Order: sequence, then structure tokens, then C-alpha cells
Amino acid sequence: MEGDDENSVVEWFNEASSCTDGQEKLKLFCKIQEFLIHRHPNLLPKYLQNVLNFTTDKNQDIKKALVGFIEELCKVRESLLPKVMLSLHLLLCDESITVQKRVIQAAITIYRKTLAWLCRATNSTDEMEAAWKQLNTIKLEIANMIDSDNDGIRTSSVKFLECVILLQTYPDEVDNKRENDFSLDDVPLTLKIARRRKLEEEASNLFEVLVKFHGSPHISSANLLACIGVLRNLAKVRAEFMGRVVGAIESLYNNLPPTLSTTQVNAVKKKLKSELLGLIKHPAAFDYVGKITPILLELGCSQSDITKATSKPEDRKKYTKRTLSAESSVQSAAKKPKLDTNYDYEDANEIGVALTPIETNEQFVNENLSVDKAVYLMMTSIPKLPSTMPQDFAKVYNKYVHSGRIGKAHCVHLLAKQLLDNRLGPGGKMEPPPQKEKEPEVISKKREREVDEEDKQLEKEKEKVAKKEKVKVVKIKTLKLSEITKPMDKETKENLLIASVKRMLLSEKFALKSVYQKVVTTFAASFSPVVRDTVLSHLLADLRSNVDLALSLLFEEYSIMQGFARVPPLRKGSRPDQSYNKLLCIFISSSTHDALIISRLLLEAPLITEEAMLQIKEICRDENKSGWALGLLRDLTLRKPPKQLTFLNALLSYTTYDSPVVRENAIGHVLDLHKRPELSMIIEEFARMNLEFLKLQRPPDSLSGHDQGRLKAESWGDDYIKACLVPYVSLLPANESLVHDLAKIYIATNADIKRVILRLIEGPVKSMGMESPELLKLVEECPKGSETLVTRVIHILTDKAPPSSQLVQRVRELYNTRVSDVRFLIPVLNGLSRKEVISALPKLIKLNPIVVKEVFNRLLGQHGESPITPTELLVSLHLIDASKADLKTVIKATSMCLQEKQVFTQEVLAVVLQQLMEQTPLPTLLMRTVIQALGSYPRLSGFVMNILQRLILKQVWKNKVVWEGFVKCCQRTIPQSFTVLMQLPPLQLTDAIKMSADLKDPLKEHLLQFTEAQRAHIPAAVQEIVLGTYKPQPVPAPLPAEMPASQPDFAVITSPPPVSVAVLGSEPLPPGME
Amino acid sequence: MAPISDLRIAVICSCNMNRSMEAHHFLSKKGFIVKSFGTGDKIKIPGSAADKPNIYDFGITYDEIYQDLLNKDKTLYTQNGMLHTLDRNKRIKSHPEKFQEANEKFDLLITCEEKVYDQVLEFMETQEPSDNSIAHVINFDIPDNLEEATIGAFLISDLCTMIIKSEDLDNDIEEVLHTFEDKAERPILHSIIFN
Repeated sequence: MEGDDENSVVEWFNEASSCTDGQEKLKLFCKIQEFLIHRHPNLLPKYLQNVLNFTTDKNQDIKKALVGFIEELCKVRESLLPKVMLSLHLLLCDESITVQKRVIQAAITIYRKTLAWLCRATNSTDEMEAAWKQLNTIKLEIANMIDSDNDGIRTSSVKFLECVILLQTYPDEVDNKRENDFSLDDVPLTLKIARRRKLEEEASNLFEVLVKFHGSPHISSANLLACIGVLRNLAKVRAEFMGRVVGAIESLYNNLPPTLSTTQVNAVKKKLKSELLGLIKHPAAFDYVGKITPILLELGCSQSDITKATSKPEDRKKYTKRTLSAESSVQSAAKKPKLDTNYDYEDANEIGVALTPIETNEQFVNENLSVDKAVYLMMTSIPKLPSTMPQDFAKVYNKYVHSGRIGKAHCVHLLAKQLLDNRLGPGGKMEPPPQKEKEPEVISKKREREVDEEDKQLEKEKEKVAKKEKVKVVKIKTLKLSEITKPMDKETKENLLIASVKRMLLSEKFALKSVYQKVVTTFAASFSPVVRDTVLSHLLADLRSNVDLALSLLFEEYSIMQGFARVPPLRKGSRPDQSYNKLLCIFISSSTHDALIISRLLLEAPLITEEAMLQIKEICRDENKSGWALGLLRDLTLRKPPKQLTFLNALLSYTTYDSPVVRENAIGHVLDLHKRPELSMIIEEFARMNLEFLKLQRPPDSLSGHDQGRLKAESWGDDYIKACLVPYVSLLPANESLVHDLAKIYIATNADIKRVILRLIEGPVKSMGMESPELLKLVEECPKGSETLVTRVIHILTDKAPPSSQLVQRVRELYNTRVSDVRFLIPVLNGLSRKEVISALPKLIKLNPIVVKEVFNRLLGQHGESPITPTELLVSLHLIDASKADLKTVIKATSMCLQEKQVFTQEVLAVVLQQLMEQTPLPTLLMRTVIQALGSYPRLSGFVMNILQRLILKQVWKNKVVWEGFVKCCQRTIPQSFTVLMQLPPLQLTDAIKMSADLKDPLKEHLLQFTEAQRAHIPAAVQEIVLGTYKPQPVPAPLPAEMPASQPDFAVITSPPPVSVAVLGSEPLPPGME
Repeated sequence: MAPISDLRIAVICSCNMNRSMEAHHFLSKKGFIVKSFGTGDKIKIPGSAADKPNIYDFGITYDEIYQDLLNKDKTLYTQNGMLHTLDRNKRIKSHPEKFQEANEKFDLLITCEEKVYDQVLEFMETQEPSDNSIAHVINFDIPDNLEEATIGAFLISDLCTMIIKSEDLDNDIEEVLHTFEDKAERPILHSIIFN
């Protein structure tokens, strides 16, 4: 039979180990448990290990069942306890809360059983000791679990502590001893592994833990209920705890945890009421009826109920407490509540207990005596101490030395008494006569001495308390914030909040930067506007050094706005998109003066809102700031591709702005951007659009208004024209092909606009240079109507440098084929061939004097190499055919040339004259130029004489104009010209004298000065003519025949017969004739 | 049908007649493991006048009460619904049970009246805990009439549904009760006891 059963249990084990279904496994486990525990406990030792193997099972139900098994086991077979301890400990450390809880609950039974088993054992084995040690570890762990995060575990832990305390304390010496009550009395004094004294000490410690837990301010209601029940139970069963328990309950009642809800408070109060009513029945509680009664009255019990419940005197007589231990606990109980509670003066009054003056003072001192105050009191009174201890002080002091302990309560009591004796403190006022002074510092010298000693004690005590507090801090449990906080009134809350935020802001230097940033931004972003304002004002006070913080705040706001981050609950309802915008705008407006900061802000900000954009634009309009502000726009365009167009358009709009400074800045940046192929199209489009405006009747509205800084106008002013042109023209060097469109526009516009265009293109065209294929193309094409533009272009190009051959070629072609305006040629004159220049000269000199002057400047090499030398130029001028240009024009032109004295020096002129003279026929203006040359350079006279003589050989008189000039020249060059004159044939000499009467007398005198020998060289006819004795005679030779022809004219110089002159002119005198 | 939760529930009123039975009925239909009890000394059923109730000892079956009332005044007890109630009760279980005599263990004890709550707690204190598991005692007042009993049963069912959703009841009970209190709009008493 038993064998069969054993077989089936083995089968179950096997099944269970292979079973995967939790429920099934649990069933099997229950079967095994039932079988082993109840039916065949004798098989337990054999199979125990198999059962314990379930410790490592994954299923928490199985593990719970296993704990149950162990619990049952220890009831059946205590001897097996050592074997299960390890498993129990492992299970306690299980991660499942329910398993842990189950272990704690089971531990209550197991601990009780184990202790009893140890005590019954006749001799202790090593195994027992090991088990007990293990169990002690478990016990400590459970005791520590009173600070667990889990409510249920805490509750169970409290219950476990109750059990341990009950087991390890002495029972009341009364006859109504409960059955089944194990206590220290049952622990044999001979037991080595568990000493009574140690156990009791442990129990006392655990009780302290329990009381502290009970009094902790954030205890949950379930824990509190459990705790009250446990304390009540302890007090009931172990009367020694009565005082402490009553104290703890009283303290609790006065300081209900603020975290409890109304319902929970009601439940707790109800519990308190029933427990206190239960306690007051206990004979040991009689001493505390005074304390319990007011609470019960408060809780709604009638006085008669209380009286009824209070223990009867005969019961009390029967009841004798364990004096020693009870007394000490009473003492500590009296102390405890005062340490733990912040006993409030007003509360006390509310309770309705009339306080005596001494109590009032005690309370006052208790509230005010901080460690700092105590130290202060000590420090101030030490110097006043006498060298020896006074008799009366020793008496008082000894009392405490003997009792061994001085708590705060004692100090408080003494201080209060002294204050009262001096009628000080709130208590002092209660008794007439009232005293004004209040401060405890005002104490007589003698008192102070005593106070001092007490303070020393007090301080020690304080330290002790502090230590205890510290331990507690480590164990503090996690709390739900919403539970433990009580709403403060709004103002206080805000003030505190602001104050803390401010402190936090000030701590920047000491804080870890990233953390600090995160904290501050989170604060600013997720709290109320007040906090935000505080942070903001901190930031704005020194934006430069806080720029990182500002940016991180911007990002925080941005993520809220975009929904990357949750909208902070405190800001629900506000518009997060607005707050980002506002923030950004505030930052911008407060940093308008600081280019560096604003650039950083904007470049790094996740988004530039429209409003921010407006602000930037406003800055751009400021001439002083536009430089960097527009640069910022450029950077934004480049670095923020999603909004590239916005920034670019903003920047572009400033290229037409009214202020030249702003405009120039903008254009500079636009040109920068234009280098990028992806942007150049847009920029050109914009410029072209503006250019096209010029075709309109009046300026478009888009150029006026606040954005453009100018008023609306009905007609094209220079200003408007410039605005339209500048962007486009500025782009020319960057994209030369644009020039063709400019030409088209040029054709279509009116004179004013044309003028401006001509003026504006200078710079760009210059920078494009002569080699620009597009410009050459323009010159080549020269659309009809754009001649002036093209001319201007050519002019600009050749202003400072000689024209390139290509340009010259283009111009030449243009001139020859399509536009015969000679003006085209002027700029490229230097590039033309000599022949071309000479052929163009007649036309050129017809232009207005200024232009002519310019032409000469060019030709005379003031703009570099000239195709023609000055000599050639002057000669060419003289040779211009009268049909091509009238004499007057040529005269003007030559005079203009001759004014250039640096070019037409004496030597140059000499060459010119030389060349001119060689021309046939003689140039009309020859003598004019000779005279002028002579006027400029008198030293040329010798050379001129030479020329004159040669002219005679060339029968100068045949050309009337030249002849007149000749005579004039002779007249001017008296006396050098005498020689020349006298070489003239007689007829011509007569004519000359006739033409210029001034000549005759000087000539005569000159001749008269001649010596005979000299005269011999002079033809007689000439002498006669000069001397006025010449009679025209018929001359047989044809040559002399001419001479008499002029003879009649001689007398009438003033009016020579034109006919004779004509005749004379037709017959040139043979050269060298005498 | 498998229970929807292994939570052991007790609903307790004074006579185990109306409020606890209504809840018992409703909860078991929902699939809870539930038992019902009374804590009173006697079973009192309203009679022909306010001062003349019908009084029975615990131990009597519902059927016996039914027969008794039927004999006494069929019309009256049909009209006030007692016969109907008893008829329903006897389909659920045979006789009213007294909590103090039951000696069973529960995880959740729901009482319908503060006095009953006090009695439950008082009784539990006298019991020596055996396995020390934590049980929650929850009270909210349900007036003792048929309509309120029905509403009360709904509320109890809501509460139980909320409770079984919690994975760790001992830890979550405060929160659950807080939520429930808002919903039920009546004050709740809660305490814990050790089985």
C-alpha cells in the first residue's frame, strides 16, 4: 500500500518537473503536499529535497505553494526545519512581491515554531545553530522590509515584528495568561544559541522600529491600521509596552499623517477609537486614562462610555506589573512623544486641556530650543562661569548625573521652570504680574550656569537623535508625491517656487553645466508663467553669458510646440506655439545691440518665427546694424534650408531699400549668395523683376512703404530708378549675360531712366572688363536704340586702358556696317589703325569741342599708345579736305592741338612745319600754324625764316591765303624777315609792301644800313622797290615782265587791283631769280 | 465555469437576507468566488408593522422562512417582495450563515453597514491569526431595501472588478478605493485584518 503510494508520489514529481502548464503543476504540487505532510510524514525526509527543488521554479504560484508547504512542514516535523531554512531565505529574496509576502506571513509561524523547538531541545546541535542563524538573517531582512516600497510587504513585516516582539518579551504576571502564548519565560536560561537578554534587547529594538514606523509622517493608511492593531495587541499582551503605545497613539492622533484622505482619516479615527476603548479596559492602562480620555472624547465617545470601559479597581489590584522594565518604558514613553511630535500650542488649546504656565513654557522652549540656540547659550555663558562649582548647582546637577540620562524633555522642563521663575516666556505671562521680556537669553547669571550644563547634555542628546534620524533617512520609503503633499495657498506656493528657482539660478557656477541647463529649462518650460518670467529675467540680465541656456530653453519650447515633448500639465490651455514665438522675440529684442548673441541665437534656434523675422527686418533697417544684420540673413539663408526662401527674400528686399548704406550691405551679401547656383536663379529673377518695373508708367507700390523706407511716389524719381536698377546692375559682373536684358530695358525707358542707367553701369562694366564676351556681344549686336548705352559701355571700358583688339574689331564692324556714328569710335580710337583715324578725323573734329578735346587726348596718347603720332595728327588735320570739314572747324581743331604744349613742343612743331611745307599744294592753314608756332616758341624764328625762304622758292604767292599768311608772318618777324623779304621777286615784294605798309619803312632803313658791298648782292629792282624809286618797266623776258605787273599796285597798297593779283598769282616767279 | 479571479470574497450584512444576498447573487453570476454572511444575533424580517418583525435564529433555512411567511400573510409578503427575495435566496444557498460561526478565510470582506463592519473587525480581532495573510475589510453603507440592495450590488461588483484588476492588491488598495470612492460617491471605511 505504502509502496504504491510512494510510487505515485515519484510519478507526480516526474510529471511536475515536465509539466509546463502552471495550473496542472500546482495541482500536482498540492497532491504531493497532501501526501507527504498528512498521509505519509515518514516519507518527508526522503522527498523533502525534491520538494525544495521547486524553489527555483519560475511559477510564482508554485513558489507560494512551496512556502505553504514549508509552513505546514514546520508544524509537522520541526526536526526538518534546518533543511528548509535556505529555501525559505531564497524565497524571501524572490522577485515576486506575492511570494515575498507569503514568506513573511509564513515566517511568523515558522519563527514561533523554530524558537519553541530550540527551547524544547535538550541539547543544541550545530545544525540547529545554523538554522537559527539563517532564520535570524531572515528576521533581520523582514524587519528591514518595513521600509519596503510595497504596502503589502510593509504590512506583513509589521505583523511579523509583532510576533517576534511577543515571543521575545516576558509575559505579564497575571493569571489570565493567554493559552499558547510563548514568551521569554519559556526560553530556558541554559539555551546557548538564544540568550534571553539578547532576545529581549532585540525585541525592544524592534519595538522602537515599530513605534517609529507608526509615527512616520507619510505612513500609508493600510500600514497605519496594521500598525495600530499590532501596537494595541502588544500593549494588551505585554503591559510593559502600554505607556509607549498610549504615547504613540496619542502622538499619532495629534499628528495624523497629512497624506491621508478624509476617508482614510475617518477609518483611522474609527480604528483608534475602538482600539483605545479596548485598551482602556486593560488594568495596565489605568495610569494613562488621563491621556486616553480626552482623545476618546474627541473621537466621539461619551464620558459614561469611558468610565464604563475603564478597568475596575479590583482588577487593577490583581494586576501587578513587572516593575523594573515597566518603569523604564514608562519613562521613555513620556519622552518619546515630545521628541517625535511638533506639539503645537494652538492644538493643545483646541483639545481643550488647560495648560499650566509651566507646561506652556515647556512647550515654548521645546519649540524654540534648536541646536543653534543651545550652542549660542553655551558660548555666551561659558565666560561667566565661576571657577568652582557652586554648592546649590552641584545638588541639582547630581540628580541628573545619578539618573544617568538627560533628555531634551528634562532640559526643557528645567529651562521652562527657570523662565517661569523669572516670569519669562509665554507661561510667564499667564500669571500676574505680566512681564514684557520674552527672550530666554535674558537669564540671570546664576541661571545661565545651570543652563549651560544642561545644554551640554542637551547637545549630546541632540546628536543621538540626529543619528537616529540619519538611519531613518536611509530607510525612507518611496512615496507618491500626490499623497504626501497638501495644497499650499497659491501665493506661498509661488513665492517658495520663485525663491527656489532663483536660488537654483544662482548656483550656476557650482552646478554641472548640462544638468543645470536641463533643470533650468525644464523649470522655465513646464512651470507657471511666474517661474518662466523669473528664469527669463535671469537670462536677459546677461544674455551673452547665458546664451547656451537661452538656446536650450528655446529647444525645450520648440519640442513642446512640435509635440516632441508632452505639454507640461501646468501649461495646458496656453498656446505652446505662441510661447516659443514670444520667447524667441524676447531674446531678439533684448539682444538687438549684440550682433554676436543674436546671430548665435538665430542660427541655432530651431525655428525662426514670422514675428521674429519682422524683428530681424527691423534691425536690418538700422544703418548702423544693417551690416551684420543682413549678414545674419545671408547666413540664415545658407544654414536654414527649409526657410531659405524667406530669408533670401528678406535679404533681397533690402537691395531696393531707400538707405544707400543698407542697400549696399544687402547687395554685398546677395552677391555672395549669388555664387551658389541654387540661389542665383532666384536672385536674378528678383533683380529682373525690379528691372522690369522700369517699364511701368509709375513706380510700383512694392518699392514704397515701411519695408522699403520710402514714401509712395507717382513718378520715377532718381531714387526709385536706382532702387530698381541697383540689384540688377550689381549682378552684372557675376552674370554678364544679364547685360542684354539691361539693354532691352534701356531701349524701353525714358530719358531720365536712361541717364541713371548710364551712370550706374559704370562700376559693374568696369569690373566686367573688356574681355567680357557678353559685353563684346552687346557691342556687336547693339540693339537699335541702345547706341548710347553701348557707347557708354565702350567708354567705360576704355576709360583707363587701351581698347583690346577684339573690342576695336567689334566697334569697327559696328561703325562700318550699321551705325555710322563716329562717336562710337572715340573710345577705341587708340585701337584703330592710323589710316582709320585719319579718315575719321574730319568727322571727329566736327563734334562738340569737349568731345574733340577728348578725342585729341586719346590720340595724343594720354590713354596709352596712340596709333598716330602728334606730328601725324597735326599734319593730317592740315590736310583735311575742305569738302569734308570746313576751314573753321579745322582751325579750331588745330588750335586745340597746339594748346597741348607738352605734346607739341618746339621740336615737334618744327617737324610738323617741315612736313607741311613739303606738301603740295601747300595746306591752307600752313602759315597760320607757322605763326602760331612762332607765337608759342619765339625761338623757332630762325627755323621759320628758313621755311619762309623755301616758300619763296615754292612761289608761295600763288596761294592767296598762304601768301597773306606769309606776309603776315614776315611782318611779325621783323627784322629777321627782311632777308626773306628781300629775296622776294620785285613784283611780290611790291605786293607784300603794299599788303603790309608797316613793312616798307623798316625795310628801307634796313637797306640803307647796308654797306655797298652788301647792297651789291641785292637785286637793283628790289632796292628800288624798297627805296621807292622803282619804276615798272616793260620787261623783255617773260620772267621780269611779271614784275612790272605788280608795280602799279605798289603805289596803291591799300587797294590792290584784284585782277592784277589774279594775274600775278597765275604766273609763279622762277626760284632763285635776282 | 472557472472563476474570473482567485480572490475570495465575502459580502456581509446583518441578516444575510437582502443586501448580502443580492450582492452574492450578482457577484457569483459575474464569476467571482463569493460567500455571504450576516453578523446579527438574529434574522429579522419586516412584519406587518414596524414593531412586529419576524425574528428567526441563524440555522433556519430560507425555505423554512419562506413557508412561514407564506402561511402568515401571503399578500403582504408578496407585496413587500420578501417572498420573492427568499425565493431567490434559496436558489443560491440553503440557509443564512452567521459570519462569526463560519470560520472561513477571505481576502476581501465587504460589509454593507458600519455596525456590521465594526462587528466583523471586532470578531476578527479575537481570532488568533493562522497564516497571517492580509485581508481587507471594506464598508460602505447600503440602506436595507430592495432597490438600494440592487444598486449596492452593482457597486460591489464594480469594486470587485476594480480590485481584481490590481496585480498587487495590498499595494494598490488605497488607490483603488480612492477611485471607487469618487465613483460611488459615498464614504468608505477600510481596514486590514490578518487571517
